Amino acid sequence: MKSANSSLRRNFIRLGLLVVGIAVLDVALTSQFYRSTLTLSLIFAIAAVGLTLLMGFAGQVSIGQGAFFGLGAYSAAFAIQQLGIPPLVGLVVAAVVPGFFGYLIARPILRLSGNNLALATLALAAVFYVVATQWSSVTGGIDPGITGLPALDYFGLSHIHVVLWLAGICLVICTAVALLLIDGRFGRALMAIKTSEVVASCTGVDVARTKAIAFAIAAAYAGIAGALFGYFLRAFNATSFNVGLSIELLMMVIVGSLSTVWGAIFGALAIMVLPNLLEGFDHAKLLVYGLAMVAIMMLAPNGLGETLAKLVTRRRVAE
Amino acid sequence: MDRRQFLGTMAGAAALGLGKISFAQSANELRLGFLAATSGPAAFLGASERLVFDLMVEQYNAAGGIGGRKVVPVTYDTEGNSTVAAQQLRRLIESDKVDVVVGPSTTGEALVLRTIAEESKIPLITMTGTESIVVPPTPYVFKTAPTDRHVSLHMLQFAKEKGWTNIGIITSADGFGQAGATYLKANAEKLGMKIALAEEFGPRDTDMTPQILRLRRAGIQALMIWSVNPGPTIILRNAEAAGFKTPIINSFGVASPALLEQAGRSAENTYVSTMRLLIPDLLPASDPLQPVVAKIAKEYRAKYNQPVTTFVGNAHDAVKLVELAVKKISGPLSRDGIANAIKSGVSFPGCNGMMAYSATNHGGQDDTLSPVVMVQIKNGKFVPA
Amino acid sequence: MDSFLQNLISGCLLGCIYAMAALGFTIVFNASRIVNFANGEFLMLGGVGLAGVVVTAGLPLWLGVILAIACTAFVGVLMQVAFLNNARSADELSLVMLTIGTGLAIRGAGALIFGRSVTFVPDFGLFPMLLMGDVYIVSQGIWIALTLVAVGIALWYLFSRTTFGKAMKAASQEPRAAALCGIEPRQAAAAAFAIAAGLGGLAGALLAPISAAFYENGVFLGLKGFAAAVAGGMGNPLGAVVGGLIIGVVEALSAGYVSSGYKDGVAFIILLLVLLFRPQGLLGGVSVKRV
Repeated sequence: MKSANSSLRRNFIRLGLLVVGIAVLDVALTSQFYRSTLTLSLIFAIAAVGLTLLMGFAGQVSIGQGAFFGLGAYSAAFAIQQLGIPPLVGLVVAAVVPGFFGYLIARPILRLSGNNLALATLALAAVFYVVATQWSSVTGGIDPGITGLPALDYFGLSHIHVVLWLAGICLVICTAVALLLIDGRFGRALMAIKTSEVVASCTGVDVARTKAIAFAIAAAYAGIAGALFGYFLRAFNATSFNVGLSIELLMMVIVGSLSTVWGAIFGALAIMVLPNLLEGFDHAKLLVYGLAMVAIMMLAPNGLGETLAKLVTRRRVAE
Repeated sequence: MDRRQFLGTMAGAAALGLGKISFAQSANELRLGFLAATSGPAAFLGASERLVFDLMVEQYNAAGGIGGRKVVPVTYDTEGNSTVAAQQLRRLIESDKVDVVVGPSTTGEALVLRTIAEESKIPLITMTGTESIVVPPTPYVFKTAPTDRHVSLHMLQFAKEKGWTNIGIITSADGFGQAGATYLKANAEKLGMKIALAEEFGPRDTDMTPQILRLRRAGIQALMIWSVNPGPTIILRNAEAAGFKTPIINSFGVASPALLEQAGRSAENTYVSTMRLLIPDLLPASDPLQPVVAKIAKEYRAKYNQPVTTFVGNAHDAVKLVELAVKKISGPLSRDGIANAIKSGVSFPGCNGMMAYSATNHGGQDDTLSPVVMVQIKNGKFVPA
Repeated sequence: MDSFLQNLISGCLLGCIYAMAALGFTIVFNASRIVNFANGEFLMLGGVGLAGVVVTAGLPLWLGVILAIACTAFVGVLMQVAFLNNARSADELSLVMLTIGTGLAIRGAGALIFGRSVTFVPDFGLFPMLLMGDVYIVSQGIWIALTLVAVGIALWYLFSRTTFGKAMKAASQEPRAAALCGIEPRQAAAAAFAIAAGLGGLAGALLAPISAAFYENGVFLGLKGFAAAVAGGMGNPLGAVVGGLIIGVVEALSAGYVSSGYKDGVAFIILLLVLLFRPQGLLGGVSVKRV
């Protein structure tokens, strides 16, 4: 028990360091380009943390997070533009609506496992994309989509600074909640389920309910990320939420490491930054990007986060 | 240590990115940014736009630059993705320090980039056809492509003159097709025409027979297709196989000689509403745009050994606009200077119409000349309809 | 009624292509327990490869088809031998990630080598268009349907009548026993990748005349193929064919009678229902849940 608490404490120290890191970067980065890359990384990291909770801890695959990401973006935009709700409250709407839908869908869908679950969630993403492109009275379809979201220039700060900090704060809160959940009863229930559902239910865990809650949390996190994404760009359309987005989120958590929520943050950063570094390859960019993914998975099969962590620890031991 | 990883990556990213901008900035050059999708679903637009951009920059520099200023091009691929496009625009503004940006070519991207351009105060000359980008005009954003409203009106008016007032439309489920559908529906109502059936298809679909059969049952007098290839070619082939005899009018989305090859016999007798670039050799000498169109078509074919697409005009007119605006400036170049030069009035015959930019017209075309013409396919060739 | 039949035919032809994509998933899954997310890219590669050989290089069509199949099969084997074989972890997700990465690389390579244009390849010809009253089947459609039948018979023979084929399946379930019969699991996996990729190349080549070759086609074909494979029961070749045909027909009928904009949505909702009510797939046997 003591070790669990100390690991929680260590994680919260890291969380504090993350805040310091964001603050340092916000001051140090002079270019809006790097700042916007950082902002997008933070935004996607929120969705990735939720997905890690679902995949890494509860052992439930999802290739459908893009649907909740999009649902969050549309819910927030609808709340702001049609209902006149302020953007900060819009974030709550963007968490509640996908979370609720996630909980509803989770019960039937999480009876499935393995390939079936992968396909079912993928189908969810595909259906969401079709509805987003076709239900144009609400979503604006692909053209023009949602436009004219307000600039968030609170406290005399520019839009990009505000969104950067909003994303940073949301990420810290979501990560803290995830860490607390993992450390507590709920986390132990999740890990029991991951090991064996039968054993878990024998020890008194309500398997279906626990899985559904994990799914709902992951959906809510994706929703918050989606809303922030919409706030950041101020205009978006359905093409942003195609099946590719769900696969990209999946890539983030696998490349990052599924065994820790820090892996998700690291993976989001890697997936957002990597394509920008490959710009010099011009037409060969996609080929090099694919090969880079292959190389990462060959050299670090447990994800970059875990492998790098091991490298650092090993070096420390050697010292 | 997580923070160390985090900072390490950012520092690495910064170091790699910064390497690109550590060159000397010369006063006597024009740093010209270019953004278009050269990969992804919108590559049909971006690929040829990029080619003509490269061609024109090469020509300027061979002739000593624009007004003595060397043109330094910086180009990025947006993949047709608005998030990527936004990142690339910020990179052009901050890292590459460009004076003006040409692009992007899709509406979705342009709507996102417009707010960034206005915030960063950089002139952005988009190659999109959506009116809402420039109406009402904002200080830094312009466009060159003919508006979807003009083009759809042209198709509908042509049908009305032929006496076809009961229309069916089929459009692709992408940005291009959805915009077309919106304008066709709105304009048909204004002209007192009826859209009896509106069908859609996925941009990667392989067979549109079900839609064709529905359209056949609807008893329409003409069918309008608004999409880019391969959709329209598949539709033409399905229609021929199904014995669908109704006249078909395609939008400029397929206006390329490739249509004749690919659709072959099934394109016979169908119509295409197109910018003039499709038929540079068939334009009458009296057409005010003929010299411009014929010149760029000839040069493009000579350099790339491939036929011009109509989208070449979008980039050509954008670069031409930059050239004329920059020539008006005698002192040092600035972003505001270029935007103001355009707003103080720049007129020229472009590929897409008589362009007349002013403080109130950021869209380019004046209303005196239709930016599109109607052609028909007869014996495997385009002829004026 | 005629248009119903016509829609049905349209859907079946579409389904034949999905079925061939699904067979690729199933064959690889049976031999190595890997869900290969790069499978759609094999179809893409077959299409753009054929277009490159026939339209750009001007070689005869039959040679183009053979080259397209051979090259794609080679890429499949390369993927297995160079990447998947050397993976340090047998963890399912990291292998899936490897296939996603390989898929991206194949798409990038396809664009780089064969260009980014949309290219139609000439019809294979030989058969005339089949007309029965008002209902027709286009010539290329006859090719597609006959090819699926031939491929189906060949695969059935391979997997249930030859030692090699049976051993391939055994290699993933009982690696040790298979090794005793002289079948290395790695060889079996390489053979499976060769067959799946070659099949993908063939399907892509068949599709190129009717819907054009394009370097981005792989994503969509992979998605539909995966759906068909799981709907039919992952690992069941007959199920893959049935799954493919059903998805094709549902799509065509919903485009013809419900709404063309929502047709993909309808197909995927039906897929979800199939999964929920028959998790073992349409043709999958009842599996005993391991405790």
